[in-house]
Amino acid sequence: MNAQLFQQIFSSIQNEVSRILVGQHDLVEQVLVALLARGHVLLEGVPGVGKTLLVRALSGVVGAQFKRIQFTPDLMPTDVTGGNVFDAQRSQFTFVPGPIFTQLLLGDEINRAPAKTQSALLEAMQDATVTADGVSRRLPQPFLVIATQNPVESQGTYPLPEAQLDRFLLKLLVTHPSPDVEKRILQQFVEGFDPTALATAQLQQVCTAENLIEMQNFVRTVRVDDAILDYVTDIVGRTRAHPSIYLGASPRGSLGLVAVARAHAGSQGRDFVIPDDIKAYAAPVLRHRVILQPDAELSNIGADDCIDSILKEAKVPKGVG
Amino acid sequence: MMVRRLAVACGLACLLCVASQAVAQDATTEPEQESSASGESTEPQAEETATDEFPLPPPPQPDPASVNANLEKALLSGAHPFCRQRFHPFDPSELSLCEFSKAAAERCPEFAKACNNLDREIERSNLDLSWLGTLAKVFRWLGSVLFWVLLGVAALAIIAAIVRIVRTPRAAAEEDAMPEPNAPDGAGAAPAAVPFDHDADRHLGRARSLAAKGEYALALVELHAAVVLRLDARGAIVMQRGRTNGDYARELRGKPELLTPFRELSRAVEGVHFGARRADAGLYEQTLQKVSSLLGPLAVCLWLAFGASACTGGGQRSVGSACGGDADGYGVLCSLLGESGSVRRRHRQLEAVDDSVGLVVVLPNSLEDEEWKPLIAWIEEGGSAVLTTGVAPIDKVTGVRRDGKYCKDGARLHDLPETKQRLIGSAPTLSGSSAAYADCGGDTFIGRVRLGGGIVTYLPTPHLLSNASLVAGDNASLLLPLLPTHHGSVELIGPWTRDSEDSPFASLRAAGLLPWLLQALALLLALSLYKGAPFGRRVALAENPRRRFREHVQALGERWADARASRAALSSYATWALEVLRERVPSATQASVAALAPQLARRSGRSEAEVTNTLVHARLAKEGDPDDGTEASHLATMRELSRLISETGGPR
Repeated sequence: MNAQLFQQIFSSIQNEVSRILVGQHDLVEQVLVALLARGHVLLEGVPGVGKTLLVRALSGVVGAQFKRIQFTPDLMPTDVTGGNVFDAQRSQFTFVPGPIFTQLLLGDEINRAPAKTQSALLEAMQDATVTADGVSRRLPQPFLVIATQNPVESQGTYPLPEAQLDRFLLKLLVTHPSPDVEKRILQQFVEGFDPTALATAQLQQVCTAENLIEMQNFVRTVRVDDAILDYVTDIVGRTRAHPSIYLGASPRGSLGLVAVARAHAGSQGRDFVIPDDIKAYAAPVLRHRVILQPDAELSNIGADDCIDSILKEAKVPKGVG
Repeated sequence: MMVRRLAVACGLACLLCVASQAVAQDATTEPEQESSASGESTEPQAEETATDEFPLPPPPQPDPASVNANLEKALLSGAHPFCRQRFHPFDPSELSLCEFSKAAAERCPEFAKACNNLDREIERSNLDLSWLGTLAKVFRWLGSVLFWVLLGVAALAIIAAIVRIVRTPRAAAEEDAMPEPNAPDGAGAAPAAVPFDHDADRHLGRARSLAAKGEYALALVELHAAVVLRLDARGAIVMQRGRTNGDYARELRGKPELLTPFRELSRAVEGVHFGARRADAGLYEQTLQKVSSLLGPLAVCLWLAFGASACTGGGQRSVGSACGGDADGYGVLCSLLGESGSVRRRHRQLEAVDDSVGLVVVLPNSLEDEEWKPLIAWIEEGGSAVLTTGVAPIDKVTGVRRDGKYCKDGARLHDLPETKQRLIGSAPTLSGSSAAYADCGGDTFIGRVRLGGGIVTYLPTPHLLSNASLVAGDNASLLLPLLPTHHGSVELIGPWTRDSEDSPFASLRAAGLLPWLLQALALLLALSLYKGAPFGRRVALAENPRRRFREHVQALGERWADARASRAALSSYATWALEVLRERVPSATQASVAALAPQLARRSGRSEAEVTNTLVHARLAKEGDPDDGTEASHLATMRELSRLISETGGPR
């Protein structure tokens, strides 16, 4: 695998998914970058903007398994991870894998499940393993969790704890499509596109799960200069000293930013990271890892505003001005 | 390469221009040297200094042909507007010079017309116009004051602008070098240790020198910095510390001619700097070639502008115009002297006369008696001076006075009584012992005396050397022989001595600095085109992070509205409103609502029942009534309370 081949496969996947998911080219790119950086994605957006379609299309294009969990208040941890069930015929407990044993997992409305159930995902997302009754089982690779949450409705929800949020590599904001894009979606629908039957859309599989693993391995070889590391340290450090931020990003945020920047560099056909890679993904990586001051929240200052101001102040590495 | 060649060509052109001007200057000064050399050989100076009696040399002979030719040439130069310029302002103080106007009518028709008109005007109105001269002086004084005030303001503005320009990049560099107060310890300090240089040319120069040393990686970084600075100066991008190449490229999206080379440069620099690519001469030259369009044209313009201005700036200025172009000025005298030798006006104090000076002409001036000692000493050592006005220390030594019979009809040359040429002018004749050069009815009109080893020539009035006199009749050819230039240069002591010029522009012109000033202005203009209009580094305005209290309240209100917390809002507002309303009635600070209502009703003019109803709702909200009502009722109660407060005296 080299940078050119990486870029070629990346573009093919992105174009094929974007053919189905109209007007969400950037979202597709970001989800792909997270997948190749071995991270997980939290999608925040209103229902009906194509989140499920995105994951299903992606699984079809990359030839990966796909499962979906609808999180509800009565969902139990074993409903996610699976558990040991007594087999009366054999008179022994047998492990029945839960829906988490897949390659692409869509956790719909994750904040509707209580913290106990949400925490069932922690180990899987961090170590790609599931432990039941003291036995750890590896999850299939590649493994990507795409969780969604609705920012509008807050009644009957359980906000994700900080530890859980920190496990998500990217938090992406999905907004309503523009009128042009919406019209194209309607045209697609009128022409007979059925989102529940992707086979009819003649979706092409452009790579295999093995190819994805190769690409993930390539990402780890992308060069990161010391100056870039200084830049990342500077940015993340500033989140801890910003007057509107109560709690800044953790070192996991720095690691995530570098990992994502590497994947993004590969997607651009480069085998080295440049400051633009960092800047492009600073907000998706950091926005859910900072806690704002109450005063900032009252003043309608969001995490993205703080990150924007940090990026304006942080000095871009030498040679760039 | 193209740019370099053009720049070198321009530089050579400049050098050639400067060299040619120097040669031309040498050529103009050579005859003066030759003439002084020849003067030394022809003039019997040794004889004068060797004898004790110092007999006067024979009077100089006029040479009308050459003088008249020079006079015509001087008048044609246009440096004497009084002569031929229509409607040239004629100062009433110049009225006395109209005695020359008839004889000057052929050479200076406009001067003659002005004199005729003024005579007629004075006769017709029979008014005393002397006040006009005073008024003119007052206006001149006011104009001078205003000029200096404006000049001072302009100078201060220029100084402030320069300080700002100098400080802005430095402040920005310091800002770059210093970690922000919000920055964590050590964060950002390492890359900002060296202040960033905001001069694109210096970056370019460093890039070239680094490339010459073979350090192509660093050369590319310097080249990149130069391009970014140049694009910023052109207004194509806004350079900021937090911006990346991608940001700049997005800014250049609408300008493909800039975007394409910039992208090429960014790729090369990033590959070398972040991707550990090897930088070699080929990559550097290739990149330089691609970005030359971003660096070249304006640099060439700059050189061309400077070169052109240098080539055109060294023109000869008119000597005559500096000495005064009005009727009472001495421009014609300066022009005529300038034709045959070197002439200069003395601006500095009279401390000593230079060895290069052969003749001193004393015109009306403001020197004190004790200031003439150096001139007396110089004359006694063999110098020659022409006095047109009284110089008491010299007059005392020579015994010559201007108190003789008044001569109205002009004078004839003493040694050439048969000539028809006549000196036009009226003035008191000289008394005392002097050898007459021109006499008027037997009295000396122009005389010469020995003073030590030198000669002093007395003219009865400075008017004789004025523009009006020298253009009249044969005055120029008769008077110029008294002012020989072959001994050395002629120095004029006049109103300008120990004084400054009328304006800095005149000073600049007199000093020959005007072409250089114009060159400097042209250079600044080229720089402004080259560097961009702001000249300095543009600084993004810092946003004020503080918010007004009103905005906080508004944000809080919006939050409450989002949360539909109208009851909580009413509770808070009612607490405050009841407190305010109780303060309105001093005796009711502890009174119940029932006791408060009648008094508030009286003050507001509302019905007691209405006020009671509002106060009861407010008290219930304050106490947290479980029957909390609707959002609309909460809002209505708040409005009623607000009205009640304003009707009883406002919020405070």
